[in-house]
Amino acid sequence: MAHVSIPKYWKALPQKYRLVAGKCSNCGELNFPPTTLCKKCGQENTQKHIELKGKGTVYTYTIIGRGGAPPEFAKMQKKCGPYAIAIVELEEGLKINVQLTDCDPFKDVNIGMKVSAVFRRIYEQENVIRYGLKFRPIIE
Amino acid sequence: MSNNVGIIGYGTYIPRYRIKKEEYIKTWGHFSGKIEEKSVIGYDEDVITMAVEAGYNAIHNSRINKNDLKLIAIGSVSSPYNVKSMASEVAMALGLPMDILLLDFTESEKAGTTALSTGIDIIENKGGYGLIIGSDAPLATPGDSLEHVQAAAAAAIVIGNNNKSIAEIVGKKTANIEYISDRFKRNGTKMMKDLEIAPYSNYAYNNTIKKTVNDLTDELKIKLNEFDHVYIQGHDSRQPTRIFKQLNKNKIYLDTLRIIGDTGAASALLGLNAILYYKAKENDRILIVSYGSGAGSDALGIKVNRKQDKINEIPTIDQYINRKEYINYEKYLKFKELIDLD
Repeated sequence: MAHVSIPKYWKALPQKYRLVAGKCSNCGELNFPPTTLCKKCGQENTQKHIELKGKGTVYTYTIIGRGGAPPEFAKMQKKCGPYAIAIVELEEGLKINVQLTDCDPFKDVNIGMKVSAVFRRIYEQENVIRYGLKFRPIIE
Repeated sequence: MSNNVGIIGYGTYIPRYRIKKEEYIKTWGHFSGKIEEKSVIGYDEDVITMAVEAGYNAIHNSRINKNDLKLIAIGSVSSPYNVKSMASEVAMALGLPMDILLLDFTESEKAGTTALSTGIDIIENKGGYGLIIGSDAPLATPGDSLEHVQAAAAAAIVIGNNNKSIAEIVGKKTANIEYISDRFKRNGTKMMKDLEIAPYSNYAYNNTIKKTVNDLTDELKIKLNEFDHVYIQGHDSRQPTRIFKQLNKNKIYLDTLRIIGDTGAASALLGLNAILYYKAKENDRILIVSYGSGAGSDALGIKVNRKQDKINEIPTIDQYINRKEYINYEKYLKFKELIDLD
């Protein structure tokens, strides 16, 4: 199983739990995750932490079937069947790589579909539940 | 009670999956509950993830600044951890302030109203807002009558000073009478047990609930029938309808029990959310009664000021109820991790 240590996972909790990004007060660029130097203007310590809204659209996606899942997701794949991985373009303009949930990957998912972030169990490691965000079709 | 605390807003979460009673009949030959279908927790969900979504919805519906929250109190009998706070994880996921008071209640299936009742007392003294969440997915051994009705949902309420409230909490009472348990879960075991001694269980249920409701109606100087809407927590719709013979049956709200099932420590708050959403008009009086085996019961009297405004991006309880995907019994066993792969 791909090992992500607890301290490393913990350090990224604000990003994993609620999409905390760094908005540069010099040039306005959004840095996700926040960085010391702004990736656009290179200024140091200019980023104000903001929470992204967690709304966006599916930019592209693929479906992970039997045997294709990384070890930490193999059990979920066996129990729930194939699942979709997507690049989601957020309202704020950033693109992030996410897992989709609460949908049939073959019937429900399409490019341009509106999705929103939901807090879910991602996997377990060292007997600790690793929570984080997945995306699902918006509820209408 | 000085009537200082009221409900600022509420929010719900119900998982997407449902199973119909016919699926049970196919597998077990019968279905022992008076409900039609029930919600089923998804594989990547637990009471913490459900609490996060209900809490998020309640905070946004309340239009408060989350930094003004002074406490978060969660009631559940299905925490994935024995040692480790549910509220702590939920507070992190919602980005709540670090000086917030974290309270977990797990004593019985009335833990949701224990959280509410305790939260009211604290906010009354401390000021600010409190986030109260009932989130549950109780589980007994498949095949036990108890398990047939067990479902999953979360319901959250933001409480705070009455001058901004959509509903006032006009009174609350509790009754705790020890009935050596008819329902329990021993340490280190996964399944809740019910000894299924029906006369004893019914006696405990009726006696405890009648005590707390009588105490509340006495204090408020109101007759039971003067409440416009009543929600009584129960395993299915039979228990709440049997208990108060003098109560006009049309006032007993049963929809969330019939179509969602027994949601444990979320039950009473989910019933309250549904009444506030579907039924309540200005000046209506609501009675909410919880019950937890062991046995305890809380009764809360609530007076409605106004409906909650709809926020476009926040799903309503009606949207969650109507969003559903039916699954068969085999998939149900997989989702509930009743078939082990390792």
